[in-house]
Amino acid sequence: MIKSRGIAFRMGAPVLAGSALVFLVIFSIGYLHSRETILRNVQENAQNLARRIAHRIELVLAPVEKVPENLDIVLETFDVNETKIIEVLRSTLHINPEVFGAAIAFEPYAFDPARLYFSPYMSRKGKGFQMTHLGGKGYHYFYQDWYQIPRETGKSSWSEPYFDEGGGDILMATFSRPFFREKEGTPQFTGVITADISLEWLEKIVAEIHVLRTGYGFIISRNGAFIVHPQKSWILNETIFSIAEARNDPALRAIGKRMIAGESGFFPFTGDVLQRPGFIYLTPVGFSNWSLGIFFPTNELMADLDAFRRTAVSLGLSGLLVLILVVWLVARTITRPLRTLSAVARNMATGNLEIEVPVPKTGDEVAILAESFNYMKNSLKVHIRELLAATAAKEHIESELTIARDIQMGLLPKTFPPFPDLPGFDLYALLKPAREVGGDLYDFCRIDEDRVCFFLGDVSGKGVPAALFMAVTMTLIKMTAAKGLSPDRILREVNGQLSRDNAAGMFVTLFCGIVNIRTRELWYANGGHNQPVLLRKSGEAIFLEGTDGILLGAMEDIDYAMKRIVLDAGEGLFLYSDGVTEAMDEQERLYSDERLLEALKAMGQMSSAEVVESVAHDVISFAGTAPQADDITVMMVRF
Amino acid sequence: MEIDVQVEGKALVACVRGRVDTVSAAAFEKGLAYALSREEKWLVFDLSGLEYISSAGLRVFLTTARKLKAKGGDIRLAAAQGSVKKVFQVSGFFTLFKHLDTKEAALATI
Repeated sequence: MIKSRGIAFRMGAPVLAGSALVFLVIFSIGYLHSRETILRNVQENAQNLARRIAHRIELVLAPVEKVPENLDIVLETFDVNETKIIEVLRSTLHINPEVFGAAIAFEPYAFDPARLYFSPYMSRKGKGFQMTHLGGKGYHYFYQDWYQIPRETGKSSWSEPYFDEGGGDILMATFSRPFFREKEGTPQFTGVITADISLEWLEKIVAEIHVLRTGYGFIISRNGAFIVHPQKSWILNETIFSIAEARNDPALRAIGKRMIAGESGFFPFTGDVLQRPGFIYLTPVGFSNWSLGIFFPTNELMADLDAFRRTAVSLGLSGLLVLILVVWLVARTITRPLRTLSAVARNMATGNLEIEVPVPKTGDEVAILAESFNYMKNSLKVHIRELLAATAAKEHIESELTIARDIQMGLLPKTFPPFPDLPGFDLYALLKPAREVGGDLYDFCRIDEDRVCFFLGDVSGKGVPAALFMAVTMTLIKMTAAKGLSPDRILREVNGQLSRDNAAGMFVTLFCGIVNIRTRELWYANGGHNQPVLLRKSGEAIFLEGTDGILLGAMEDIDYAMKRIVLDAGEGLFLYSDGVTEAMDEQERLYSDERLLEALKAMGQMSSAEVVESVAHDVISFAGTAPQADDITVMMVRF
Repeated sequence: MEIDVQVEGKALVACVRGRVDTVSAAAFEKGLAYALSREEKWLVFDLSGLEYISSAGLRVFLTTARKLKAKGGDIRLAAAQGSVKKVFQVSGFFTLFKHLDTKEAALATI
């Protein structure tokens, strides 16, 4: 449902994780808090319940304890005979329905110096009463606990519960009270008055304890014996310690110790009949050192908590599910227009700029993006249209420039040797154009039988203006040279023509020479051009002695100097434009005059064509991959 | 190519550094337009930092000089070095314009 790593996932995952975390925290806190509250409530309820039960028990026991006391007062106050005693006992049972039986046991010979035993015992039988005299050969009551203990301690006490053997298997307990009579000024132990009580009502009271669903109460005696317990077989047959022993349960033993010590409180409990885990509330009962325990099974105690947990978890999970659905729906409403946009963009990328970009009506970021796409598309359309127009214009200009370049190159002579009828005259020239239209020029012409005029120059700047200026210059020089003027005069004439109305400030550097093949003379003048190199037969290469003249086109009325040298056979003159010496390699180093001289040194014996081609090759291989910035023009003349 | 123009007395001093080739010649010319728009009639080119100059660069000197001469002024060249100095020499510029070894000397001739 959620595409991995999509916007839905990236948006949903943190939201869900965050929600789940918040839910978990709230749930945990709520759970712990509820648990605490429930335990506290249960504890309080248990305490109240236990106190109530204990109180009810005491309500029964307290009057019973009063019975022997009252009997004592009656005996002491009235001088009673045997008949009277029996009457008193009968009326006591009559008044106190909770008392099962009562006895007044005297010390040997204390009541009647003739009787060893005197202990009338009145008990209930059916709906009436039964009178028994305790004591006899088989029953020395002086040695029974109920008699012995008060006698020895001088204090009242409850006996351990017991099954009444005669009275029909009724669980009983007996309260014994010693009584004293003055004899020679000191109170003398005279006997024990007892009151028996059936513990059946106790069972009833405890059975009324209903905690949770199956929680129950039980009572143990001061020895740990079970007096009341839902497990009947345990009553008087087992103690809490014997159960702990049998189960090897030290925790239960500890609880037992707390109970017989008369402690109150709420503790974990392992002594259930069915061995279910649970809690117990302890409290001492009455004046008998008994202890009441109320057992709460954990699972029932926590039933509310479980219900809470189930509700919370199911609520949380359904909340998360709803959240997932909402996130997915929201993400889909965001991503759907994005996907559409993406498809449109792909389509657009193939060059289809006519496609309409759908703009969602949401007005959100996606809508803004879509609008931007539309804007981009329209801008692209305009831009492409302009680009096409510009490209067409540029191509138009470039084709015109190419034509201009072709015309310019067509002006340069390319037929070598130039004068086949002059076998000793060896002239070769080469112009290697740069990418952009430049303004280098060279030419030569025969003036008469013996004399040849040649020149090489460089127009400032580039492009169509340079090409036009070059064409003008070439035409002017050839016209002027044809008049038979000397080189200095040619330069002066041409400079004058070029300088006049030269608003663009164009100029040309020009070297012009005239050789006489017969006399081996060379006359030359220089209008600001690089000084040519003289190649001696010996292989020496030196710059021709200069005639520093001003470049042509800068200023009118300028005189140029002329020089004359005589060349030996085999000597030659090398002319070049600054495209040679200023050619640059990849590190922007110049080819330089020095390198040129060095290259020419080895070329003393070569033909003009060989020298020209070698130098051009050297320059080009020096430049390497660096673009050629300027025309490279070289000319070699030998005769 | 870098150019900066400063006023020194009644003249302007244009300090040109780097390379002036066919491409940067246009920028060179543009850089001088400010100098030509001012009242000063004299312009000293401090060429001590100039490393290379092409023929297109030379043309800028010519046109600048022509405009200043029309106002009654001129240009002065100063401190050209090495290959640059040679280019000026060969092209006859030193016969057209005064060249001095230092800017101060050039200013002193005005």
